[in-house]
Amino acid sequence: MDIRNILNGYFEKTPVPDELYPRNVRKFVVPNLAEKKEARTEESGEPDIRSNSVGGENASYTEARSSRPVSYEKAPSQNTEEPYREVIGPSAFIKIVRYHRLTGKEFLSLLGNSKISNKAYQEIESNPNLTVKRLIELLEESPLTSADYEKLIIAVQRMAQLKAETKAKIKAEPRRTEKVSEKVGHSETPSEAEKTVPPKSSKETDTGFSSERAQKGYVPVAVDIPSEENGDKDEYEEDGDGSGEQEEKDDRLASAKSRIQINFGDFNYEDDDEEDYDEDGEDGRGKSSNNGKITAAAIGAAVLIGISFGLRYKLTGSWLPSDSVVKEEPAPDETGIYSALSSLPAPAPAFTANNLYSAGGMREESIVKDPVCGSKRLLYTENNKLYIYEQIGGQVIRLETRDYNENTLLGIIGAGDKTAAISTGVSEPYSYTYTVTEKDGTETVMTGSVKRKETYLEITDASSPEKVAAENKLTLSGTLAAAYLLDGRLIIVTYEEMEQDSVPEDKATFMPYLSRAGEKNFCSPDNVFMSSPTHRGFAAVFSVNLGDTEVFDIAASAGGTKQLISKNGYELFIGQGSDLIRYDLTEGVKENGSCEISGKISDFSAISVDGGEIRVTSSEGDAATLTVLDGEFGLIGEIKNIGVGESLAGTCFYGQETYIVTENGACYGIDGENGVMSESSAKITNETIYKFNDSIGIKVSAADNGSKRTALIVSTVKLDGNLTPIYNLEISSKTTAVNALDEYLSSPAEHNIRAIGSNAENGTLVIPVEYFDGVSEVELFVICRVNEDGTLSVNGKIIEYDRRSDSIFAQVDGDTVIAVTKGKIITAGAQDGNVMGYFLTGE
Amino acid sequence: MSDTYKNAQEGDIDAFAEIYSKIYTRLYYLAYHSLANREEAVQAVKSAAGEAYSLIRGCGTEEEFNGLLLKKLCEQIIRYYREYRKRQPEYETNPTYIKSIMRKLTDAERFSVAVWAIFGFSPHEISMFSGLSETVVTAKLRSAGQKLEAML
Repeated sequence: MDIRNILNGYFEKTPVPDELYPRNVRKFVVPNLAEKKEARTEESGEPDIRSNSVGGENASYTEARSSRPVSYEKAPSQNTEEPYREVIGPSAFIKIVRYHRLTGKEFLSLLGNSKISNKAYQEIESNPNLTVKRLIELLEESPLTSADYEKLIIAVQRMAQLKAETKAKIKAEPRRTEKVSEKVGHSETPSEAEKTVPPKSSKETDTGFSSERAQKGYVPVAVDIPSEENGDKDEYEEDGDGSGEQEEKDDRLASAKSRIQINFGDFNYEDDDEEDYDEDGEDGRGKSSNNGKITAAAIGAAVLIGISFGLRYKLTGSWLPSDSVVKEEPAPDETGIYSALSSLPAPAPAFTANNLYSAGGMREESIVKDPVCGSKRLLYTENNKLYIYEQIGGQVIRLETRDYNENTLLGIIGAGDKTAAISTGVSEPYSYTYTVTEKDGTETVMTGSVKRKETYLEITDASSPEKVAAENKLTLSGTLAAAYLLDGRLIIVTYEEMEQDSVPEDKATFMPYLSRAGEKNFCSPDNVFMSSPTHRGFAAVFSVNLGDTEVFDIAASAGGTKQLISKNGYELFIGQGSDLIRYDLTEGVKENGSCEISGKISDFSAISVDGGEIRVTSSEGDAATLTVLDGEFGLIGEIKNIGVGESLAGTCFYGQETYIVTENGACYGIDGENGVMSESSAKITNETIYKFNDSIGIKVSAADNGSKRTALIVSTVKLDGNLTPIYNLEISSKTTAVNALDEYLSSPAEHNIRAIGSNAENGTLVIPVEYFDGVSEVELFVICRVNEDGTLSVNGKIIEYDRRSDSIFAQVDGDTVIAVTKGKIITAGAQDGNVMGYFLTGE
Repeated sequence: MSDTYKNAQEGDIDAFAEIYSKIYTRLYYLAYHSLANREEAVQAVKSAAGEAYSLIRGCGTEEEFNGLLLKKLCEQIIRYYREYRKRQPEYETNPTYIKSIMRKLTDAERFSVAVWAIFGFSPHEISMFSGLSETVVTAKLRSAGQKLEAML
């Protein structure tokens, strides 16, 4: 078949529009104008897409833009056909946001309620060091229209108005902050230390803290309203004596002021006159942009304030209520449990909030994975389906596709010779009857039904995950909150809010349970710990023996609001409300003591067990409290009023050091030995670090030139607590296509580090990359070797042109690289990247 | 160098129109069958012609200028492809038979096969115009050929 002739036969029948006829060439080719336009394009060094956008209006727009030096400025009114988006677009929106000094939270809240894509939102949310230019790029790439920006700007203005009103209200209230001595910490006497109580009741402690912060320039966000605009000063700024001098020295000052952890300072307006408003504020933020990172520099500026609780403990043991915090455990029956709980629904638990930050670079990794690769099988999930492949040599053959339909597949847990697929859904409606007694004594039998949230486990042999025995299909009540592996057992924590129409006499409607082989096993009331009965939520802990699923155990805590989970060896801690409950996992799961701490478990809270001491952070009023307990729940000490008035974002621990991070990027480091907040030796990061081996971590980030991406950087860092850089490998799409634009270069590993594949034994590291080569999407797997000294060398690459998958990731099985893209799995040698084979999934 | 081309270089629009008249239909065929709709194709050709004309003095011969014009059009088409990453292409509601067939190809295949069919270029020449590697163009022409054989 002569395709060329056939095509040309059809092409030549295509009518050419009149407007392109040579007689009309004068209408779109104007020599002088074209020259200017070309010159402008050349200068900018990149194509001006706006100048060739669709529509007849375009001509006038192009003309106006291209003749900018003269006609654009002299006669802007002539440019009436310029797209409205140019007037109200991302830039205008960001300018308004900056002008009104919205906090990061407010800004994200605005974006979260807009039509912005999830991917863009996540990038903005997860990247506090985003430059404004990158932010604008993201917004430009989003489907937001000028009308949307108009609405957003109205919302910003309304927010600003409300803030101004709130500020006026605060101003009308009596001041809480006064100057006090700068000498705090070790020099503080024990008697003063004893006065450490919540801010409103202890002026001295509060003001001391605030004063120190004010002198350091750590101006809390909530009151940092532009003073020029409002013509007044907030209460924290009153202590202005030292702030001016220290402001420049203090690395963290600007970040605390910056509100949004976006690198505003990297953005320079093109038009000078746009700087007219709030020039001072601009300067301040400009500094902040460079310092707003949660880095060692930020930590180095952490407030040197605090109270040596260790010292106080030695000097004044009397103030330590060593045993009064331990609560007596009630032992109610099922009806008692139901009756004790409030009818209030529990708010959504915050199991993962504190996982945003980590000290020293590593975060606790979930055992629930997307891909699991064993020596014989490859399992991965996509679009709520579980794909099981058999690996024969370098080839893979699909054995099964398991569709989870109405349930949600959460991932796969690989546990040595066992594998567990974990999913979540709701139960079948469960019918029940109950009797209602009327005032006149008549009894009416009512019926109802309830659907409970459930977590499903399918436990199989790792060598044959396609075979699931009926007795190894388990149903656990509640939604998955955490999962751990322990000595061949799976420890699962679920959370469930008791259904509103539960009835006390029917435990099936509210008690935690585990179903196996058609038998529903309820948690014994003896194993239920009654937490603060303010809400009707359950946190259930299941222990399941992977080798024999008949061996299981259940315990639960009922009530409480926010949940917090931490596992340390054979101990599992659950924080609920003000209660800290400990479970012993040595055999099954048993409640093993509890205590009440100051404040409430909050989104930023975390628990750590190190050196026999338990550390937990909680919120009291508008500040954080760190409580340190011994192994018997005896109180060793507390530090209160940390980060007064700031938005607390997360807690992370490094050994016995505690770090509390605020949304401004401020960080409070508390030394574990003497309890003094001090300069930290560890680096706090919200970057995702991939643990290659015990000493080397990998991170993937984008390099930019201030306005757009220029490359991807794969870095190796030492896992020494400070993420000391070792080596950077730059990946550019230019190496594979001349026309490729590195601004479109990205890697899923930037957001999901699990997309990286590695094998520490032979040093193989595979980085998945996506880019646009000028015409089509390209998926690239860069195969590297991590050398012993931490340097990287490229062994080869796998390139797939004209493909775009929802997710791509890599696995390394021995010397075989397995690259997984949508509908295609490619195998290649780890030593050279030579493709061995591929398998089309047909999806 | 012909007088017409010399006049075009000196700013004679009519002379330029004469040179343009020899190639514009093929330019439009390429743009129309590579892009989503007629409006985009027209705009791409207009922009390419405008840009190329502004550089006509730098081209010694008419052939060189035609090459420049085609290169500018390829750039315009690629710009639209980049735009398609940000928004869904607005396809015509009633496409011609061949347009509907071409739509089933990927962008890279459509572009490569259109340049090849209309201008008779080799993969190496297409590579020079588009910036894609020769290997990719060859692969795309092969896969596009297989698909078209099945569809035509």
